[in-house]
Amino acid sequence: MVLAISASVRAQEFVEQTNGMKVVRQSADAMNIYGSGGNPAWLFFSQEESALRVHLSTRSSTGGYHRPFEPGYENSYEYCVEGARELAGRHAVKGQFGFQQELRGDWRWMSTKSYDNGSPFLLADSTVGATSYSGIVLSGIYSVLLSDGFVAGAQLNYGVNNGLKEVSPKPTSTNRDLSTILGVAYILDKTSVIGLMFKYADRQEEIVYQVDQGAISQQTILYKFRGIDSYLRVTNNTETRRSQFRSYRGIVNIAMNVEENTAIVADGGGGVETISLTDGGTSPISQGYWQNSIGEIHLRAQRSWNDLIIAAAVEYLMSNQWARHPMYDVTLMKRSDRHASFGIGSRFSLAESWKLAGEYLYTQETDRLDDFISVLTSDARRTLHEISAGAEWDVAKETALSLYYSFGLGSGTKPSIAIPSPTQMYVTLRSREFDYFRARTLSNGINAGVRFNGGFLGRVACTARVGLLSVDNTAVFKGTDRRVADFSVNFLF
Amino acid sequence: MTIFRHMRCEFMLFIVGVYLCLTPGCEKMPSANEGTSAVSFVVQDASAFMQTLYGSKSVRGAVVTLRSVNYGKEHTALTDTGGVAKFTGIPSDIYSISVIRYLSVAEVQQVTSVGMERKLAGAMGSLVLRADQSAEGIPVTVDLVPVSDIIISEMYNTGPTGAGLYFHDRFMELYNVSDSVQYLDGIVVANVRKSFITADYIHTQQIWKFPGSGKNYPIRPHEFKLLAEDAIDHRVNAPTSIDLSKADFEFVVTRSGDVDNPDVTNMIMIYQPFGFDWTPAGEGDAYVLCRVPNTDSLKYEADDLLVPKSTVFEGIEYLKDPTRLDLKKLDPKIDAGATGGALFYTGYAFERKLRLTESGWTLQDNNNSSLDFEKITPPAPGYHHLKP
Repeated sequence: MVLAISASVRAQEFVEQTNGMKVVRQSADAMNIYGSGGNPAWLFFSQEESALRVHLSTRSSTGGYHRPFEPGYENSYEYCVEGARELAGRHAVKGQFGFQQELRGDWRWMSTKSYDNGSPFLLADSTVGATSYSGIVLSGIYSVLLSDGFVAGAQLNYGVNNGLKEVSPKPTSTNRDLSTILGVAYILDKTSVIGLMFKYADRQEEIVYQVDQGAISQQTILYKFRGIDSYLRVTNNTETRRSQFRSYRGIVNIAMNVEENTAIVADGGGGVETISLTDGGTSPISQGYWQNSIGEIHLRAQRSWNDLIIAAAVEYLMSNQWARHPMYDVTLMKRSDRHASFGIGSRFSLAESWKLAGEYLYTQETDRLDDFISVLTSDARRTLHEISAGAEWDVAKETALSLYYSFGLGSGTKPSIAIPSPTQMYVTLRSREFDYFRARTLSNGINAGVRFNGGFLGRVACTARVGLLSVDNTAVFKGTDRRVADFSVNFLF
Repeated sequence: MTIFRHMRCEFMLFIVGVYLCLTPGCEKMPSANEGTSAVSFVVQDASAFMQTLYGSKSVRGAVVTLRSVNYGKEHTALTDTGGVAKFTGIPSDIYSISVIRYLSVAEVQQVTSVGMERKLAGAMGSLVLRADQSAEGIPVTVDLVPVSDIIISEMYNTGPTGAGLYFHDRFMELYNVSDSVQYLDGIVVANVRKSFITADYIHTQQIWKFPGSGKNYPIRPHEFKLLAEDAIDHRVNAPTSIDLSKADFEFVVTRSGDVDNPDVTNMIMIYQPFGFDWTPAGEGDAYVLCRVPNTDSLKYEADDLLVPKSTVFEGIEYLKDPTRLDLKKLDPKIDAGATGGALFYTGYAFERKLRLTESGWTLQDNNNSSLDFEKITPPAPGYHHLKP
């Protein structure tokens, strides 16, 4: 289960792949509004066979190619248990309980956990070190068949975690995430389904700086950012920042069978995200307001014959952000991001126990920024080409092996930057950010999987992925790379 | 049809509910963008110099400096022949404004027949400049400032690190910015206990003066003089502290058995009813230097001794939060801003910045501690940390 996240559009560090493919999906729910669009109302008709799933996963990334405020390395671990059940022929419930741990190392300055959602208001201190987060996540979905062909559902996600920076001044953070999805769906006829969803997310973060033992020999210096190259430098030993994130979205889902073996599923909608922040424990003072209007469209089509499946996917995301000065009715920055991707793929059965698959995915992102504090306007574009190919071998009745290889080529244009007059604010951080997005990157990845019947362990599915993203040309990142390794195991009962 | 009517009704309710929930989450983007407002200042001279020299009170060639209180950045512009200085791309913030116009020897001689450099200075301690409000033609008045050949070049009051509550290593440092010998005899060093912008007097409860009868204590051109709370090597008591045993002057409260280095000249205590030592506040305080003809004629008001502002020729103010210029207690005409931002027992001092002139390095003096001072550690007693 994923908590509601912002549609912040950025050039990707390394495109994540599950089971090696993103266009040709293997999930039984891939072509319905629950599996594709996340509408909880359709849980009742979910095709997933497992009633109980235990999931363990770990992810790590490291390397010199990263944005200025990204950690040098990250390790995360997730352990969760998930169960689903149908009740009385009209109800379906699904629940998940999990525990998450995350370590962000070699992390420059930053204390704000969600530093990359687009908000320019970030809190940091002058130290570089590691921060660890740990916490629990809970999720529950309920779906009910109200009448013939009409279902409704709700999903509630809750997570809380605590963070601690391991170097003095050792700030702590508490993050509480709450999200809910309300959905309805109606079967128009035997071949079409229409659904509506409303998503609400509420995320609170509290960062606390207190006097610690390190204050004996060093002065705490806080940076209160209002944009990547504009910050207030404050020498407080103590500070408390509270931020409130809210997201509201409405989405329409459609699924239809155009012909007997052709399915189309689509969803689209929009919403708004806001962040407001205050500093100060007993006398909070506003530190800014940020708002993001988002729109999204996802379309997936799939046609299957006996041994062949062809699929196509289109995605379009748009984001328009602006930020307001904490004290005055003045716009600090505006940003418009667009993300468009198109993919096509195929999977066919070569023999009784062999399947081959391949896909191509093209992505283009544009980013237009007006930073009024820095008196800077930039316009940048980035494209990404990805090719994946692989094979699956059904070794025995419930045993299968898979191996996929992916290759990606990313490049960005040098942003056209207009700085109308000399400014004191344009410094190295902003330049490094631009270099990150325009770097030409090559990615290579291997994804291997195995499925087997583990007896009392249930059906076991393991996936391992390693990837290497290397940089080609920019002066800042030349010769650097980013390495990613994932491992997950699922026990299904 | 019944099914469709049922569906339409419930779908409509769902859509209305979504709309009602989405609406409260939105705010309207402000129409004004940061840094787009036009800001200009008109500088006029209250003295007779500009009128005499150029036939107009408008001050041409003055350096107008805006210092952003929260961002800590400085923006400068020169006034044109109409006395107007224009700024663009200024972020919305509270600003400390300082105007300096150095009068050359030739200009001064043309007006006064005396060949010396003088300056016109003016300030506005706290001004909000914001992009959603126009700020054009803001008037600033400058006036001839007293010749302050002796300035306060450094103050250290926070105390050393890692030594508990030790704070006896405090000092004030003076500097002769002129090219001629000056004399410290009889100069008054006073703490500013409270001051009103329109009042004519400084209220003080710590007032000391240099000994001497006129020319006993010279300070040579570009020389530093060190005034110590206790003129000893404090590193014996606090390893991260400093050596003040070679200080030039020492504050000694004789009634309390205060430390008294026999090799260091004592300051004369005029009035300090409380405390066992000279005690400038660690995190926020203000001090002035004055030339008072007769300290015996100063008057009292309650527990305060009143020092005429007309005798003040130099001042410094430091605050715990230097952005809080609304908490200043020193008249902006004496010091338009405030340095500070150092906590107790952090080893920080406030030192005047260097300024490069045609004749070489000197110390910056805009009559504005926000612009003129910077925080340094460790302290640099008797020298500038960039020129040891």
